[in-house]
Amino acid sequence: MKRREIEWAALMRAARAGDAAAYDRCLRDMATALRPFVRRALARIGLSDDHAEDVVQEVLLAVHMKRHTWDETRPIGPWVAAIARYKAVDVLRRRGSRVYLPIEDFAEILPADDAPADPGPDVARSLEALPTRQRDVLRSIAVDGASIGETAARLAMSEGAVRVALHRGLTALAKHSEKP
Amino acid sequence: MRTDDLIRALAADRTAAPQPPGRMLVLAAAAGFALSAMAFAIWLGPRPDIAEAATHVRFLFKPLLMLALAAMSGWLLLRLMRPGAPVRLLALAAIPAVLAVAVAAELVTLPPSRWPGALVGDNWYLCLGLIPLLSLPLAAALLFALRHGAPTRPPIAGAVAGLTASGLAAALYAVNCTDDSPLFVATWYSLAIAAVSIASALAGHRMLRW
Repeated sequence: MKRREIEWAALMRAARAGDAAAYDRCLRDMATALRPFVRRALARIGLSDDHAEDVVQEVLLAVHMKRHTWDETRPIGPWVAAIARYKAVDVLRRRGSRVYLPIEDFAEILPADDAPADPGPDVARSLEALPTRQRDVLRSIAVDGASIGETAARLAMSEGAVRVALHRGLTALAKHSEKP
Repeated sequence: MRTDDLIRALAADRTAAPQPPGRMLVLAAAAGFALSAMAFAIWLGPRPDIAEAATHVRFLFKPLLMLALAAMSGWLLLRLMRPGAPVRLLALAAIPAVLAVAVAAELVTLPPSRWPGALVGDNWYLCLGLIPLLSLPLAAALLFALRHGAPTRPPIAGAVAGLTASGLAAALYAVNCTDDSPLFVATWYSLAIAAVSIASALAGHRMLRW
């Protein structure tokens, strides 16, 4: 098994045990690994990589929403690759292009062990469509980097309400992208 | 929102992850089967000569083959819910293969003059109607559970859910059915199961995208 895969599996297990820092690292590393491979897949079908970051974000949202479907006894690489492939095809289909992405493209997510970190472009995934509360909470936590507690104080909400709004907001972002 | 920002939000979302998909599937299958079995017990019940029939291989073959179909497709369904899990759909070919052997045995033992009667049976229309009806709660429950997973091939997941549902439904119906010839099973049971699977594949295509 590849080094990266072993590391993701360990981080994901830690995340399941409640380690948020491990989860953060895991997602960041997945994003780094996904980026070049998504760009390559887009280039192969003649699309510019404008959509690449959109796809990466979509995959991360899906990884989060479907994190319970990874079976710890199985390698995590094929799991991420299958989600990435599914979401890439989905995003492209919504852009109006009928696509077939060869599965081999996705088998290559893992070998990028020494890929340089790439922060990705500044993409505006729109929060505008969300209800006010969810938008404010997401903006505070994601964009401003505030903690749950700080966000609660800032928006005069209870911490529980902030947690719920955050989860609902993320679910809505993931759902929103399901629509054709 | 930048990707970094999104990751910060995802890591901050500490809501408990949902239940493992397998557990949801087993619960759904149990609930759906309970409903179907109840409907069966209320409106159909076993055939009158069940005690005697249960001693004949010809009769026992039907529910056992259908249970095997349900077990195999249920097992595949567990895999189909998890992205990247290897799925050997070809394993399902074992069921028609066993059925083909039974049909061959029937053709050898039964004189040709009785073939048409064995094939058409007494209750083919009941078979065609009741298997899909008994499948309904099962298929609905399984599709619902699949939504909880992450099937990357929605129509296939839907079709296999249909096979699981109609396999269980056919096992129930077989206890009531008095047509025991493998010729009958190969024709009418297969048709009913195919209809349920196609409908379920279409439903999967619409319902199971994530």
